[in-house]
Amino acid sequence: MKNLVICTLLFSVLVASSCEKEIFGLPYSDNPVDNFESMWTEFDQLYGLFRVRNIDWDSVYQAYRPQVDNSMNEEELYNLLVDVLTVLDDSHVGLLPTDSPLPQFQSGIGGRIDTIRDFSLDLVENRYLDDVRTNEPFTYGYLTPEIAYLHIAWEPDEKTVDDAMADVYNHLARSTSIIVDIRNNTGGEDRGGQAMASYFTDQERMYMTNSIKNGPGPNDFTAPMEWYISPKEQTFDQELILLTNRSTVSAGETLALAMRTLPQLITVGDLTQGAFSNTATRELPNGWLYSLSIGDWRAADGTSYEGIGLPPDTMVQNQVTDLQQGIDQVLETALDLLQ
Amino acid sequence: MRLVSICTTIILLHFSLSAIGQIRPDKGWTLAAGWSEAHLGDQHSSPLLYQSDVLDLDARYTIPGKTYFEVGLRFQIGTIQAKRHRKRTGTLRETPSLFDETESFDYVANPFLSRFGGSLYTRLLWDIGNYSQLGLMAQVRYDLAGIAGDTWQYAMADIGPSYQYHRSIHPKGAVHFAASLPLAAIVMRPNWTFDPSLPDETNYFKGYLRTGTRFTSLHELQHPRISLGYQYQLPKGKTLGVKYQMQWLSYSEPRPLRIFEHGLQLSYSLQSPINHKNPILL
Repeated sequence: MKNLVICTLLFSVLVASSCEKEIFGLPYSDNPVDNFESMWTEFDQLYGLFRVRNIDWDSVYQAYRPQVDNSMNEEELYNLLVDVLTVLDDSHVGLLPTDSPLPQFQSGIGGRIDTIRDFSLDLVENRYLDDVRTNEPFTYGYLTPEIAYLHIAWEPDEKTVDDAMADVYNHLARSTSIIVDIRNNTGGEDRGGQAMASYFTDQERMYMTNSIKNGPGPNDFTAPMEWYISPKEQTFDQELILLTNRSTVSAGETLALAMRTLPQLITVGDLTQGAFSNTATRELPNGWLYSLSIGDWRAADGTSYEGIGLPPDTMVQNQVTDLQQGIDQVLETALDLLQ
Repeated sequence: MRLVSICTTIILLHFSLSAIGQIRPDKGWTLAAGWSEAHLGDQHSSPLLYQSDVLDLDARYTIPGKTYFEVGLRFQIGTIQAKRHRKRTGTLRETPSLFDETESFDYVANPFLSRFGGSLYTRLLWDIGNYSQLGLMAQVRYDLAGIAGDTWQYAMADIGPSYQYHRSIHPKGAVHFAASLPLAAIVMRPNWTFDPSLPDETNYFKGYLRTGTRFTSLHELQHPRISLGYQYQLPKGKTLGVKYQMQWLSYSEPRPLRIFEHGLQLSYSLQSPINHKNPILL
């Protein structure tokens, strides 16, 4: 009996003691050097876009590692990590300090958009739309008696899409053309976007491939998976225009990839943001959280638009002064194209 | 080396207890409730050591005899947080529109209820002496937790040898010791990137089941479990018990996961566990 008590106590003491880092196989401590090493290593093993973005991650280490030492304070470490993540120029890369006054950081184009100045759904609803209905994530109605409008704010799961699209279809089916607006689409589930685009196609169409990082090596990726849209029971066959802007991102962009395979589609507006990949959330030894892109998402023809964005057929950028005067130039251009 | 240490400990425990008498439980239900603490280090998820505290509920049905059978269901609910940082808050700010006010909200890692788990287990044992029984234990285990701002899951089905020792130490009291060690298991873990297998991206469990499931054995999975208990007979054939249980889990794929869990349970048996077929030798 004594032996059992001794063994149990010994193991419990070991676990509770400073040996715990070794016992649990955790290689890092909470100091600036280990925080840097931890983040750099995780990106080295998990990040899926080095080859697409042509980034030499080893050279980033050589440039920034000498600048890290354990005398740095929290703000100095934050600024250095922000500099490192800025190199990636990826809107899906971010840093979230916790229990700290330091702000959230987002890399890429998304981080550089401090204010959305080129789109207002309120303006579209109040100035242009009649017979408006809202069934999240959809806002839909009529711009003219023949031209319907459908704004998609994000991509929920497939079932939510199907449930909501039933009324969208009933309401918009009598139109002769539809403007699908995915400006300010914040993303969500790729499968949701796949389901949405499937309401606009008359046949199966391949629109995207993706490969996911599946090991620590630089070339460890899954075989490309092909994504298709295929007709739903009820489909729109009207003339279509798709509106995009720089705040169309992530699953909003994969929806755009799917819509662009439709022969009846014209795209109008600005480039999309250029951040297609799924992300993973990780954390540093100091408890801060960060996100990173984990795969290589491409158009059906093999082109990667990461960091570039999808270009529209007709480039139109709204100006702040237009919006302030109640004019959505992008929408009006689309209307002109249809009329 | 680790396996040798575990076996040595079990043998030592066997001999240290062998001076005590025999006890066998009767058929019936035992309900138990208690607390368990776990330390969890998963290099695949986080560089941080996590600590969980959970309410531990257990219901088991036992058929004793020269062939001993037990089936039970265990459920855990509680909290898990990074041991060093505890609950953390970060402020997320949405990009404002020119016409709207900036919106921000707090992200909290981790809320109070952030760990759930359960296991279904069964044991089949045969007498190997007056006080000891040896046989097999099989278990299906599932754990769900919030780690690194994401959903963490672990699932396992395992089978391996199991040993137990019962002995009365006075007319109304008995001690109990049990140990088991899975030799073969099917383990389900996140794949390398944590991304559920596409196109099942909306369902982590199905995604991980498809991409992170492996058949494994002792070379990758070491998962010894031991428990030590005492039972006291109440009037009308009921018993009260207290049990300390401890388990260690080490699994190496795709990156090392290690969990140390221990806790105390109080149990109440609906039928008497004490049957004085053999005299108590104290």
